[in-house]
Amino acid sequence: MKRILPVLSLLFVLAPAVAAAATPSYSTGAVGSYMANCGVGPDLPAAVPEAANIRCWYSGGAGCGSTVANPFPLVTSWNDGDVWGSDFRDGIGTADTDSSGGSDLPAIYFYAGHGRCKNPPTATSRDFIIVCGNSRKTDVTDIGAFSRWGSASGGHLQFAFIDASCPMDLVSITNNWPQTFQGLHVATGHSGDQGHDTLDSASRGGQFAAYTSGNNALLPQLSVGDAWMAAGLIDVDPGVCAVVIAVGADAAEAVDRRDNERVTDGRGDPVSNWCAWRWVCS
Amino acid sequence: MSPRSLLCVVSMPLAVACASARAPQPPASDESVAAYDARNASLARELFGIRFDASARAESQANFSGIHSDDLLFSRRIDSRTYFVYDKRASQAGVEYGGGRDQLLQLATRLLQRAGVPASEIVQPRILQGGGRLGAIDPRTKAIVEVKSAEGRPLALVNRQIDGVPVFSSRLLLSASAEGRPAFMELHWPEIPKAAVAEARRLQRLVREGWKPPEQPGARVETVEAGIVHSPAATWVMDIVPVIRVVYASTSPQVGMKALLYYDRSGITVTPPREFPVTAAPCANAAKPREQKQQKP
Repeated sequence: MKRILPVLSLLFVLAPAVAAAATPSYSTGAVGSYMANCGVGPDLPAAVPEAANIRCWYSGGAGCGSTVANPFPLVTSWNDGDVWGSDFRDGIGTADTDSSGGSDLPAIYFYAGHGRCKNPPTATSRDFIIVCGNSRKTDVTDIGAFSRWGSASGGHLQFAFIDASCPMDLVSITNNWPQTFQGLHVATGHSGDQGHDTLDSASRGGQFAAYTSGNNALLPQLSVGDAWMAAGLIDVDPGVCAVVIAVGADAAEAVDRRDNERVTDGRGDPVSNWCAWRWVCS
Repeated sequence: MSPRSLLCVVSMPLAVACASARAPQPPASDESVAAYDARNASLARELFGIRFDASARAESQANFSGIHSDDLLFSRRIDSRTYFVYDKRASQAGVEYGGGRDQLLQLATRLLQRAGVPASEIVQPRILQGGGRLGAIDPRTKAIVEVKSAEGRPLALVNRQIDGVPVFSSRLLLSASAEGRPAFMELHWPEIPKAAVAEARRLQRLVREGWKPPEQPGARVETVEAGIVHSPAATWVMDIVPVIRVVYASTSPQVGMKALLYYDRSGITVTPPREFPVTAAPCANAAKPREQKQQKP
């Protein structure tokens, strides 16, 4: 099975252009268990159910008690210690395109787990993803320094959905995010501080997936930006902002992608000349 | 009847329903599919000012029912006072409601009243603060070298309480077209059983009397509040649970995202409301742990 999984994953990856038009491939990475192996807390018991809700909206199936019109191909769905920090780093070799679970393998990657809020963030603050891998130690990824997503960095990611603590602080967004767009289309996250943080929630990701998937004719299929503005403020402290960011060859394209691009649009990869972001706060 | 067996999709051109939208509603005794669809068309028009053309289709799927065309959607849940409206063209136009932000709040309140929401349950109608920016990227350094404003459309949010009991999961979220009709609306305001409200009030009393939440490793208690939680708007089931809602913050400043746990009166953890009837979501991976690999930089 270990040998088959990478091959199956590769099949999805090798045809991103075909899959992207209607059925983007996707992965979920959810980390709820931190205390037992890494000694930091709290545990986040809703992270794994949140990822499961996303998969039900994107893929459906008997396991969800529901079907969906247009199931998205699922590449990997690791939880807890099987989500690794290297999955988010564009380092030597194939870290974030690792065939067993890199975040740059599919067209869509949803991460749920810890991040780090600053108190308060400044223009030079960094944004982080914090996992607790099988190596039994906390693994921190500095997004601005090490995450590079999309075709220009040898990957495939088009949509990065980071449901963590303050991974997209507004005051420092221009220092941390533009360089991550190497073919990436749109990314979502939160801005806040230690007193204004996201709460562990099974609903936030599930509702976001419901609004982005287009898999139920009786639910609106919103753009990534609109869906995150609608769902990103579920279960957050007052003062937390849901943030979406996109790039484009010119200003109009960047704004259009930020406001209107859907995961099923099948658009080509953008050129990063302009960057547009918007936010809404609770 | 299981949700899966409810998954019978009834879809039909809306010619009948559209015709009915211009005519009086069918009598309540008429339980035909056509009459049901015509009532949906009437609801869309009367509650939210939405009119469909003949290309629209009526559809029912599990606990959802509604009408949609290429650019317009009205749907509702049959197990909850929950409505969705989406005007794709108005949403993409990005033009702010000409009536201004105060009028957007008035529209929100008006829509709630039309949907049958008691005025006493409406809490904190407000425009969510937000903004937008646009920056040119230096091709060499990848730094943003110029920033200017590029706002998004304002959103109105309304929360809920019943007799002083917060209903954490209910809300109205609304943006409006330039003409003052809903561009996007999620109105999720399910009927709450009186017994649930009564239990939530008992839980409020427990909290006032000093109820102590269970400790969580690596965390400190930040807030404790009793109220009601229920399944979100876009879900296949509707769980409604009175709970004590406890937020735990990390004891380490190096780790963020707070835990959110629900408890009953005995201090036993309550499972969060479901979205799907079962939770065996599709999984791409084998049950065995991921193969350990060499640490990458």
